[in-house]
Amino acid sequence: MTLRTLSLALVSAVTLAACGSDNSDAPATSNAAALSSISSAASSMAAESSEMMSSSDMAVSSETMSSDMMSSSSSMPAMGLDCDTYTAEKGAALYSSKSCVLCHGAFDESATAPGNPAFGTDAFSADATMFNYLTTSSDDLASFISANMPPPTGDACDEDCGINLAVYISSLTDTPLCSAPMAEYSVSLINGSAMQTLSPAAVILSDDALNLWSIGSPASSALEMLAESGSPAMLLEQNPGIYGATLAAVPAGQNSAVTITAMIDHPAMLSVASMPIFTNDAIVGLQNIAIHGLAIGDSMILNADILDAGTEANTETLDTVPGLGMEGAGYLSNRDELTGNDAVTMHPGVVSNAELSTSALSETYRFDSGSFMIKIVRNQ
Amino acid sequence: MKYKKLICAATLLASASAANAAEIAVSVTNLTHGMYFTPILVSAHSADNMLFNVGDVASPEIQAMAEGGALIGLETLTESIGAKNQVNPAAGPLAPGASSPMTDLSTGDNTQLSIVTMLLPTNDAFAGLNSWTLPTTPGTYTLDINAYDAGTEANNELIGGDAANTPAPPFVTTGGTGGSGVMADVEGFVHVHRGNLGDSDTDAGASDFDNRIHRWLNPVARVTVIVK
Repeated sequence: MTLRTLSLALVSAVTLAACGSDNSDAPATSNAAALSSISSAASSMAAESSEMMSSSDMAVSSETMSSDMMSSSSSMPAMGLDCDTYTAEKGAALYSSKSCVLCHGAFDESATAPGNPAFGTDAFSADATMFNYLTTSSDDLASFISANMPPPTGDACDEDCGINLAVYISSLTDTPLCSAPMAEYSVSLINGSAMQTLSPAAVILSDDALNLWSIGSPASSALEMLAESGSPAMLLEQNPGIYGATLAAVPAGQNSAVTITAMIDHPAMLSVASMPIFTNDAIVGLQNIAIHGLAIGDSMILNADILDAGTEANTETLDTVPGLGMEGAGYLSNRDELTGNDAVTMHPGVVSNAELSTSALSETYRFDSGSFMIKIVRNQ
Repeated sequence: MKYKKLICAATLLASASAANAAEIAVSVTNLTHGMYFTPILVSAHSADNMLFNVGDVASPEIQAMAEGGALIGLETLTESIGAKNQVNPAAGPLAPGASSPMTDLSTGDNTQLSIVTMLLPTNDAFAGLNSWTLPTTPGTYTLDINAYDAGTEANNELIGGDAANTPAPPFVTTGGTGGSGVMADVEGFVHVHRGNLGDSDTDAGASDFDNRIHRWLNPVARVTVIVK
């Protein structure tokens, strides 16, 4: 055995408990290397799929925002607008309750309301800067709405109504009247195993519970694709949520991270799924982790579930396991689980060639519960 | 508050203050089926330090604890940074299913709690609690903790003899001899232990460990902390 030439000083790095705080997530400079910290305390909060308010306008972006926009807990006023009083939510509710949608239609993904030829209304873009009705025209959407909408009298939407609608419509554009304050989270997938590599992971933020897998039910084709080939592309495509990202693959003892932003005080549920590559059809992940309760500077570390997709026999043979040095075919659409049970379950672990003659995996590829962790830090 | 149940219990811990000395008591339970714990180190230390970190190379002090159960290095090191320690609260090895007595510790200004103890028989496995932020709210807290591999010694699973093997203290009465060695490679970094392999051959085979007795699944230990 070789003594490591390490400083005798304790590793100086950030500390955190299973659900503890972490105020200094700066990259460590010494041998603290890639990982900031792992706590062994396993009082991990299970992924929750609690009832949530539904929200249609959760905004997420990966762009960096100026810190002053995110550090305030109240909304950014634009042109003296009181963005705590006037909100996109209220405007969206009015757009429905005042039956705006009858003539204008619902806004599509490009922020365009198609209009309704039966009422003589043209398509309306939320990006428009001039507004016309009969002989009236204005570049102020709020006052234009309250003065003219709905026709013919324009009496059914007062000044507050007009402002809320303008805030809502502008929220669909790149230049919203009220920029909602954003929470910023850092999400890390930590590979604490001896030898496994984690495939590129799907990271999905949603405002409603996803069902990426269900214990006892057959895996979706997208989950099977990830579990057998390590590709999260189909899972991301079929479960867009509000925001999706692909994490870089994670070698043993390292981690991979992404920064995501979400509207403050809105439901934010995080799902992460990856494949430990040196398996037939294992998945490492958690779904629907409620992260909006985290205070700034707080963090949580959760043990990821280690699942068996139930789509491929755990033969561990050279030609079925992917990864470096293996010759696995990756994804095959047939389902040939040895148990005959085409269902997602917890993984029984790698047996290895120490005890399974067909296995191409040495015992080092084995892992125990707790070997893979998901760390979430609320930065802003 | 609608979302309060979603908030991690330890959000409370984030408010832990370094202002006042805390009186706590700690007990450790060996949850395993057939593994022994070497003398336990319970250390209350500052938030600037941690004993180990997954992905990092283990310190020589952690290595000495994980390979041979020696605590003196960690004791000296932690005391040099003002830590308050309980050394060997179980007064010897902790047998499977046994608990160390609930033992008082005055933490001083220290806000974090770490616990380490080697698992026997293994080459370099230890149960670890890593810089848990002590709550300031009085109460009883229970933490289940996992087994780590220090990554400093190959898991050859051979008992006794060479220093590269696992120690052979008299209280470990099970196990075989004549193994050829399971794994010759050293991992090189602290990670979550993959578990002993063992075999069913007491006179030969790859491993001296018994695959019916010397395996475990996480968690391996339960830590009970009373904040007074």
